Amino acid sequence: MISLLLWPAPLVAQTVGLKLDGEQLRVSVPQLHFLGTEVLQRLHNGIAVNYVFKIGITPNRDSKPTSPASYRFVISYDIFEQKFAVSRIEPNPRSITHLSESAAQLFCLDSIALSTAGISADQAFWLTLEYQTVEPKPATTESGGTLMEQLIDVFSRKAQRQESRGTITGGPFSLSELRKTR
Amino acid sequence: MKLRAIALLLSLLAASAIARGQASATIEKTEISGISEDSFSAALRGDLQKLVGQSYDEKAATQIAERIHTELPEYVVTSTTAAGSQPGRVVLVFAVAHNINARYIVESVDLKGMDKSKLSEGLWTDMQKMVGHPVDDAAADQFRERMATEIKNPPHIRRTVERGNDPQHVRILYEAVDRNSIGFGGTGGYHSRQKFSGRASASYTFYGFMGVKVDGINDSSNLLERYAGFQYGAWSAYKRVRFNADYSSFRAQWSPGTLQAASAAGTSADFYRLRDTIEPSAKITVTPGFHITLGVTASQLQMQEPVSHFESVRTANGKADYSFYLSSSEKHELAGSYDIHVAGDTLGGSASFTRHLLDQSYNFKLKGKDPTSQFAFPDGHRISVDFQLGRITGSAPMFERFSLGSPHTLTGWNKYDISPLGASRMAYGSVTYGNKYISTNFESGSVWNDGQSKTLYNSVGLNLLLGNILHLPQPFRFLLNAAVPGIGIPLRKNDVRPVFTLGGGI
Repeated sequence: MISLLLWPAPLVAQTVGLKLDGEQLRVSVPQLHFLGTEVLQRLHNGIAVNYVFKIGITPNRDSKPTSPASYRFVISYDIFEQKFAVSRIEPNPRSITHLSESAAQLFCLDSIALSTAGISADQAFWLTLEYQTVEPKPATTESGGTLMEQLIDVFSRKAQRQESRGTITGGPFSLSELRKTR
Repeated sequence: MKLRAIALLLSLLAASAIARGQASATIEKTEISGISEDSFSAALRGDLQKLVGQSYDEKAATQIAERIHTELPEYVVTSTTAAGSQPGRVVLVFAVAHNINARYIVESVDLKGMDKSKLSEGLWTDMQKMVGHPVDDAAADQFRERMATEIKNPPHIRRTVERGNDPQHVRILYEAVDRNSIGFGGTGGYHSRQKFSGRASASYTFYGFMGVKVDGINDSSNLLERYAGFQYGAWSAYKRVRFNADYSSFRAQWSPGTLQAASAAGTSADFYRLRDTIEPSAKITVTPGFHITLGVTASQLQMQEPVSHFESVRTANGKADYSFYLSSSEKHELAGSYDIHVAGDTLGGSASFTRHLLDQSYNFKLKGKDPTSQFAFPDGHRISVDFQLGRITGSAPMFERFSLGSPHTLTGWNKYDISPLGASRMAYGSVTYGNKYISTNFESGSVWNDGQSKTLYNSVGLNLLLGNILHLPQPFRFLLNAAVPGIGIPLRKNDVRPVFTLGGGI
């Protein structure tokens, strides 16, 4: 119970909508608030936060997409004007300023699309959207200190913390069904 | 109303004068912050050069910023001006960055939670070179890495950008935050009427989100009894919530004054010999300056009379505390808390009461605190005003009752002279002036029971920071400052016996 409270599972239950926009699949997750508390704290402290989104399709719910499309954003918060700015680094670089928190998140999500190339009309597929913050590498510790300090360092060494990440899966979809509801 | 209109008019005139002054300023040079100018097209670089020597024109600067954005659409581009080398000249800066805050000029670079002396002079000098230039995330992060390299056993260093005192100016702050650490500490104090109190602590913190601690305590200053024993605690923090669980086991010792008063009042049955307590709680950070703490306390008391037996006291606890600055200069600070303990009803236990405690304070610093200071005593002059109000309804155990007359409140008085059995009502106020060398205060307060008359007690106090007064070298300065010898004088006509105190923490 405590573990669940302290380390909630990164898989977030969200309603995923998908629509066809020409030859692109566009995702819609109205309840997704990927700017978590700690990320917002960093943004309010004037620090820019890098996000990577990966979107891909899979034949079933539990498998991983083989060649997902990747999108990189940098989000920052104007500490005087108290508005958000988003820079889309790749693909199609673009930046936009004076956004509210929800508008900044919406800009990122609206930017994300997946080509329908290679998906047959009646093929059932699941959509997976992953996001995570990418932190700069932490400063490394010089070896030294007392034996106790070294032991603590060894036992506490761990992978770089992901402050905010999540995976959203939706489906099954098919292009033919999406074309009907367009 | 008339004055406001005149003030508004003067402000508008001043603003237009500034705008005219800036408009007529000559551009001394242009600077690109955030990326290399080589990223621009040759035409754009040429047009940037043409601006030098011309009068500053905000519209022209905005057009150049838009052209940069067209060439580099992934960046946020803004133009700003910095003072030139001579009056009437400006440096036109184009901040090209992913972080929108790159448009602001760095006003100062400071440290928090670590001492400047841990850094080399060269690094500190290089860091200060950011002042006067737009925020450059890459450069600022490189300094953080250099700091981690220079400091032995470096803490995790967090960088923040805060609003500065001047418009469009910011402060860059490097703050040492918890990583894995083992900490040892202690506090000790002496009151000439209540004798020694002390606490020794050992703690282990895991990456700032989990920790354990143990405290050895022998204290006569906080409660009506002297209590001695150990307190064990564990905590874990996740996002805005900090879970805490404490277990303590204390042996109680009662002063002769309290025993005599209880004997006279026929309340000796209120005394306990042992007090074991389990106290889980959750502290929620609503905003950085506002917290709510919710928890329960279950105490088991080994009562002494009429025969040895156990009683339990269970309370549900709530506390809201806040602190915030009234100005960006952080000179004026308001802080306070409201604490409530409720016992009885569905919680079970033998006691039924409600305890309210309101504590409010205002601090005014005449000079900003040195952010690099390790000490609890600010260098600058300061004035603080504090008041507390307490109220208990029902029958509270001894450890919940209010008292005044300790090293912390009404220093010139002894709590066993004022109210040896504690009381259900309390009002207290103090005004303190302090500086680098001394701290002096006037305190006034009263404790009483519902329906009884109130007596107001006043005292004045003086504490000395001997290490600073004697200008001793470290670590003697730190140790003597921590000892902080003091005197409290009760303000009354007869029997004016001062109370001497020592106290501090390391």
